[in-house]
Amino acid sequence: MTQDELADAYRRYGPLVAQRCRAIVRDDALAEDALQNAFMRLWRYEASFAAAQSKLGWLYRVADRCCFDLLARRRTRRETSLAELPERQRSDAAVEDRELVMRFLSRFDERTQQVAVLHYLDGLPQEEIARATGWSRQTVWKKLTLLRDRAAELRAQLERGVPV
Amino acid sequence: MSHPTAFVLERLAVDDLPPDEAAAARAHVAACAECRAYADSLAARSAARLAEVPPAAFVQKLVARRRVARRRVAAAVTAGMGALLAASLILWLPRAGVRLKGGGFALERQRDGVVTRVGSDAAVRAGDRLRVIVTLPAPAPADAWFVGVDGHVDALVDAPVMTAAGEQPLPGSVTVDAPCVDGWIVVASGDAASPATEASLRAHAAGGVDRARAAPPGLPAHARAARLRCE
Repeated sequence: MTQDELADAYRRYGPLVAQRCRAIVRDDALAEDALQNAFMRLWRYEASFAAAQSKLGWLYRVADRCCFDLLARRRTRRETSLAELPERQRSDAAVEDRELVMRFLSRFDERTQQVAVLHYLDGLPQEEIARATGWSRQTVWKKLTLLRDRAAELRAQLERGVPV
Repeated sequence: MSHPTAFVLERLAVDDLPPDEAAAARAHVAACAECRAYADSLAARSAARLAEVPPAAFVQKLVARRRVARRRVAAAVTAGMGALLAASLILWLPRAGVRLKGGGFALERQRDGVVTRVGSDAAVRAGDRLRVIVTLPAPAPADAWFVGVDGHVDALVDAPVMTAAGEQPLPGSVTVDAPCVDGWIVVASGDAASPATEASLRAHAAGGVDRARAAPPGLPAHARAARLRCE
């Protein structure tokens, strides 16, 4: 892949991937690292990218992995406001769950992180998450239930003023 | 009204949807103020990002990173060394190495001008140069990484290399950096020469790896590893 082609890919997909990385890692510098890591992999694996049915989906999956890696390396993060991210109208409870899950994303295992991102950022329903990940619907359902339960626990702790 | 998912609207924004899905999504956006507002916000944020970090500047960052990564793993081979290693192949192959999907791979270590074939558990020290020799039964892409016990993963070649059948050296060599870090050379071929393999290695290596392991965690079925121990 030439540098011009890489620039074209960034021009087209980079802003969305950058926005996604910020939503996951919630730290500007870390998000920039994740974005660059994702495009380094695009550069390395251009054939895999070219073969992907959804180029944006391919980049999102790679960027998600880059973000999870960085989160695993650096647990302390500067919080950014959810209001900084483009937000579609959702019910308050759903937004609150998303805010809590994404804020504490690094505490979940990688599979659960992946389900959280597909559900809360991409807005995918269970069956589409199952298709995207190759996991059974039951596994996805269990992960979503875990996320909702954990969000409820965190909310309760925060409301009681208990450090989380 | 049933709205398209955020992902669908984002794919629409970058023209990543098949034509029929794009037409349906476009029709929905035209009739839905909420989705139109989201689509507009994506366009505005994209423009802001590209103004903040233009494509040329972003690519230069990647070019610089690739240069640094190359220095770190020191993928540097001189014409003279290439000739030396090519000659060494005749002397050293075939020998026992690491089995790899119908074939195998071996490492050659150059130290103080002497090239030695090392096994799957190699003693190395800073300044040693290593070269990966892949043996495949049929032409296939091959890829290689260094996985350090400190958790870092470096690609040893710029991209998967289409490799002919038989014994073939992967391009470039690796210079063991100072301070020397224990780790593994991982080689994958065929479908395993993929971003999924690299992602799995990185995910499992993040945070550090037990140096006593014969292979790093997260090694896919069709990838193999040779251990490097610092002397």
